[in-house]
Amino acid sequence: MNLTANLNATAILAVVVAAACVADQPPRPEDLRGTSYAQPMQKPDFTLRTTDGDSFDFRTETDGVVTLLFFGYTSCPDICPIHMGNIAAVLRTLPPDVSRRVKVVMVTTDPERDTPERFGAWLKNFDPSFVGLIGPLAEVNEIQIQLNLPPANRYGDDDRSYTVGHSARVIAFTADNRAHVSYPFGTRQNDWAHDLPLLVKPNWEAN
Amino acid sequence: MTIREIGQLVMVLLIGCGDPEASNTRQPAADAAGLEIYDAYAPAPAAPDVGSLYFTVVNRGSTADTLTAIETSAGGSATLHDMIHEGGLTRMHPTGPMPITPHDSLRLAPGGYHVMLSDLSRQPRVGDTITVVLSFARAGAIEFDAPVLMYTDVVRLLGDYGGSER
Repeated sequence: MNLTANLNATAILAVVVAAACVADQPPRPEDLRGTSYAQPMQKPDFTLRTTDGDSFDFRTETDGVVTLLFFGYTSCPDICPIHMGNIAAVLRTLPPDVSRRVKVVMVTTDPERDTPERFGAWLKNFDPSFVGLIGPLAEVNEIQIQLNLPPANRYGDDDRSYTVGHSARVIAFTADNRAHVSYPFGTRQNDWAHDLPLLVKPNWEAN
Repeated sequence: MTIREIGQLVMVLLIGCGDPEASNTRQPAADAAGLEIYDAYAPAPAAPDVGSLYFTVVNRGSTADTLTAIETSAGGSATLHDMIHEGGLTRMHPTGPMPITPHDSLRLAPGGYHVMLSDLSRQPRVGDTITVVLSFARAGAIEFDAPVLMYTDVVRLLGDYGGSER
């Protein structure tokens, strides 16, 4: 082996080692396009009913799984369907080893009008795997307070046509059962496509 | 210049392209008395009775006009809404009559101004068309068609968001 070949081999080895180091490094919140939390957010402890009527213990059912949590309602014609539509569209384009490891959970902030049938059918427009949860608004607001989100609020007196103010943020829990980032309305499909493969990396617990 | 800066520049240029004020080559969907309608789209509603509608009104005239009422072939009611962001809450709010000053425009886009369609008589599907009639105080009625598209296609076509939580 001459000197040039030796140098080449060393250079290749260095590149390989560097690549391995990068691959093994836990993703950092600052590499993501979501908004970083100053302190990672603990997973809230709650149990609500799915649109199929099953009991859903959030911590147990999402343990170790990347989980996007959103609070919204079906009579919301702009923010809610756009968030869900964007996430669903991106999940369809990602490799199965990424998309399979992402769970999307939406909790209704309008349990009065969002019956299991209505909410279930609404979610199926986007992705049949999305989980819809229903519970009393007071309970849902307790969960939001645990997550540092403002409680949802009804606006308007008419029992049929009122609107609901709610947080437009999607909270992303990683395999360490904590949230390091959240996503505001205005998050684009290319932001989700960039971040979801990083969020499913297994070594978040190293942070 | 960083990648992010280049990205932002490209975004600014793209938004510039999407601005009807900046483009005189596009054909409006309808026009009357100096008002031109562009970018009319209705996302296929995910709920059976509630949907939304977006369009842009450009006032090329020298007088102000006011959008006073909206009717659509989808049935039910159509109300112009603004989006209010306060204390971390986002909510829709009916604007009432909306003035458009000369050489200005009213742009409806996700996260900002939108028309809320309520009590739909039939859930519009992708491929349908909704006929829209806007009533203006001066120009009178302007009618145009809005194609019904997937939400994600509407977001793509409108190019940017009308507003977002900061």
